[in-house]
Amino acid sequence: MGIGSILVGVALALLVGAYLARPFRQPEAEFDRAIEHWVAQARAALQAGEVAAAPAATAAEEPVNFCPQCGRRVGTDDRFCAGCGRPLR
Amino acid sequence: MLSEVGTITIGLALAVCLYASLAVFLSIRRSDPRWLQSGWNGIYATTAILGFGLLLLLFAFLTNRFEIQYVAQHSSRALPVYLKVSALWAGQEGSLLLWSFLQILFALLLIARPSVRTRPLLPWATVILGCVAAFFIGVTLFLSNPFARLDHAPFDGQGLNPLLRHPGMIFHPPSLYLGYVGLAVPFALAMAALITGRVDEWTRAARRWTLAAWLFLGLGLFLGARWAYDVLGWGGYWGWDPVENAGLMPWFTATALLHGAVVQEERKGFRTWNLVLVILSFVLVLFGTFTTRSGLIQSVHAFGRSALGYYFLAFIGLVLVGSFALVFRYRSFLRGNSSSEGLLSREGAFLIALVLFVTLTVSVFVGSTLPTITDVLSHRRFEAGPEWFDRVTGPQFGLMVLVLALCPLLGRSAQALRRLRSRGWPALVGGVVVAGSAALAGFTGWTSLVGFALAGMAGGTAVAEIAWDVVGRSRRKEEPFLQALQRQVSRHRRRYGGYLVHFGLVLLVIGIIGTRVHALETEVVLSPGEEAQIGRYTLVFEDLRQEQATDHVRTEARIAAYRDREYLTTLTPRIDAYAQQTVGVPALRPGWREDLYVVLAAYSPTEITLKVFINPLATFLWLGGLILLAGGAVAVWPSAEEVRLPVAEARRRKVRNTVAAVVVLALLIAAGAAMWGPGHGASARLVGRPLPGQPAPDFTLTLLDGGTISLADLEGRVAVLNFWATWCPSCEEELPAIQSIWEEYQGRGVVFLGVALQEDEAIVRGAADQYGLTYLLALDIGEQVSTAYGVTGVPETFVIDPEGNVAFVHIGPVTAEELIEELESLLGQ
Repeated sequence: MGIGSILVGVALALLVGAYLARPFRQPEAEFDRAIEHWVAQARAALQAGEVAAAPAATAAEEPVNFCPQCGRRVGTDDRFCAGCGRPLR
Repeated sequence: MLSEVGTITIGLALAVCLYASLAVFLSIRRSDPRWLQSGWNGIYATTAILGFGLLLLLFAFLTNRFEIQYVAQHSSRALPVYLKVSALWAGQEGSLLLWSFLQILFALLLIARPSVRTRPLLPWATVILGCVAAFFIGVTLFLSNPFARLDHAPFDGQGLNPLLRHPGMIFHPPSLYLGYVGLAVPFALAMAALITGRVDEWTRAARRWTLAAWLFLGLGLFLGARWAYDVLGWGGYWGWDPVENAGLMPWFTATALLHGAVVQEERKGFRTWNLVLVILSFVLVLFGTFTTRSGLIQSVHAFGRSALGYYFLAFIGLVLVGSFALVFRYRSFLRGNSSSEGLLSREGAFLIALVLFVTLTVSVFVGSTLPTITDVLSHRRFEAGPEWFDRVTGPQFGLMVLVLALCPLLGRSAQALRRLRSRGWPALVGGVVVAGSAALAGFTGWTSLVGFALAGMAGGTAVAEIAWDVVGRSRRKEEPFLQALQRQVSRHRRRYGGYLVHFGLVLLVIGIIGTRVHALETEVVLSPGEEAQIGRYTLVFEDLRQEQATDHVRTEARIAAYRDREYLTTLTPRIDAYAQQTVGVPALRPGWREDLYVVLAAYSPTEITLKVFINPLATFLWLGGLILLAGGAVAVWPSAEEVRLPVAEARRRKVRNTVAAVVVLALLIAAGAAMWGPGHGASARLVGRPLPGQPAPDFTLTLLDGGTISLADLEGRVAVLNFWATWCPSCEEELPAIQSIWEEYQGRGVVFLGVALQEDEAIVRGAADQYGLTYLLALDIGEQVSTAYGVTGVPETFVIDPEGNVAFVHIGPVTAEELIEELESLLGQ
């Protein structure tokens, strides 16, 4: 077998090997640290009696609007309130 | 270098593919998404590597690298490029490589864009597909490496098997392979569903995969049928290659699966049936590859007896045992509601259809393997011929068409009879109309009329069901008919695709009955100029031409064909003699009522043997097949309801789908044009030569010695019209004979007229002086007269009787004896 073929084969194998190993290159420890961090936050919140704040925190992530006139919950893109008809934008 | 890199590539692909299966398996065991991702990367990598391998092989073919054994065996320098490309899959090694590539490509497509339904099944399905692909890659690498080297590279390759030199070679094998490979996907999804206990979800997840595989398999079979019709000389039903049966069987079981899946999705019925069908489909695919590679069945498709067969047999055994063990182990999942609606309901009709598909498959299986089994058991081959197949499968097909006519009419059992009474009339009308028109067209005979009636009933039902729905919608929503049709179809693609498939099947059945029951086959021996009457057709053998092509000698017979004694076309059946083999290429004149099909069976300098077939309704075969496949395409197209996406994504998909559709359509049109397009050994001239007994075409000619002559001047006299040219050696040979006969007969009122196909008067005069011609001579200015007489070459001689009808025709030189005999017979009257 020619040296050239061997080189091509090794190069190909290395390339593929790197590709296969890619999902493992994000170290597991990073995930663990992140999870530990969230758990610590949650625990702190619980101790501070802020459990009720948790839903509000998630709500803040998903912007939700309310109609200034009737207080009905409306979509962020709505132009009119579905409850009272007040123009929203 | 090339061969080494190629081998390394396949080896690497095998390793990566095995790793991918293992990694995904580990991800299931350890619930670790990183292993899953790595495994999927492995699938992507394997696809890329094998694709690279295929490109390498293609490169080897295009650059004539004959040091690679596979290239040397299947290509040659003279081979056209499109055939070099198709030579990739002309032999066992290359086709296995292609198979491996497609197999892993389908796994990639499955994981690349999973639907919500498929997602939970994906890990196990990937493991299974990976193992299947690894088997094929392993077989390719260890047992039939396409990159194997020859010690001494020959200067030129052996060339492609002449039988394979046909546009069909481009389209038929890849679409069959796509179908075969595709059937592994529903199998993998079904097994994954069993293992994960989601037995009701896999049919929906696998629906479009099954449909796509069914479609490709059907397309492959359809193109194969046409190819056989075009080249192999139309062996006839079941007289075709047994390997076509190997493709037909999984197609039957896949069809059954498509029907069973409907019931499972609607009513959670037929769970076990569907599992058995999906396993059978996959196993039959493997069986098909096994038969072509084991030498078990004698066929043009066989790649020769090889040890490969045993590995395939072992793999089939493994799949069968493994999958049925899974079914047995998880049988508790399969106990569903076994509400039986009775046979007179839609579900009952589906059950009958499934049973029929299975018995048909078994019949074909038995018929294909019977010769081998009887050979092993009693050392006497029992060849299951067309008669055997007709007797065994004919009634089953008949029953199937009957079910097709009734099934859509049946709802739940309670209403079945009432619905039959109120909506059954289109079936009756269809049956009467089709059988009636067939009888009027002359296709009588008890069996075929029953068949036509059944087909008509099924057709009537299919058309009426669509019409009712669309008319109903157009009334309800006040939409125009076409809009209602379009909306209705796009909402319920599977349903209307199904009706279209059924309608195509009806046309197919009509074509099958016509070509099977009413075909006419006969053999005639003709010498040049002689005519034969076959049914309504008159065939006149004009001449035989030989031509040396780069790697073969082409012998072509030209035959003028007349229908009801009216010129139709000129057929040129031929025999191509290659070094290895001779291939007969038939000539075909298609028609709605019947195809005229002529094969040059043998030739000698003095006569030819023709096999003439008249195949009624063959066009319906192709039309029916086309509509059937179009129906499948309608069903496989994603329906608007199914995909709910953001607008931008939907638009992107729409663009992509349209591009894909255009590409597929272009490929299909190319295939259609190559296989059904013009040519096929039939080329019609404007005017044919008049047959003896027909009126001679009128003409007016200016004579060389001044004055004109026309047909009317010859009335009451016998005339000899000789078309000739000064440059034609055989004309020179016959001129003295014609002159001497003219001298002998001029006293008895016979007119001789020489029509020269040459416009230079001086040359013609010189020739006339040289041969001492004293009869009338004229120039055929603009070849008007020779065109009117359908003259294709010189010399040709027409003898015209006193009534102005053609009495005798000579294509090529005429001898003095012949001419004297003919003149005597006319003058003696």
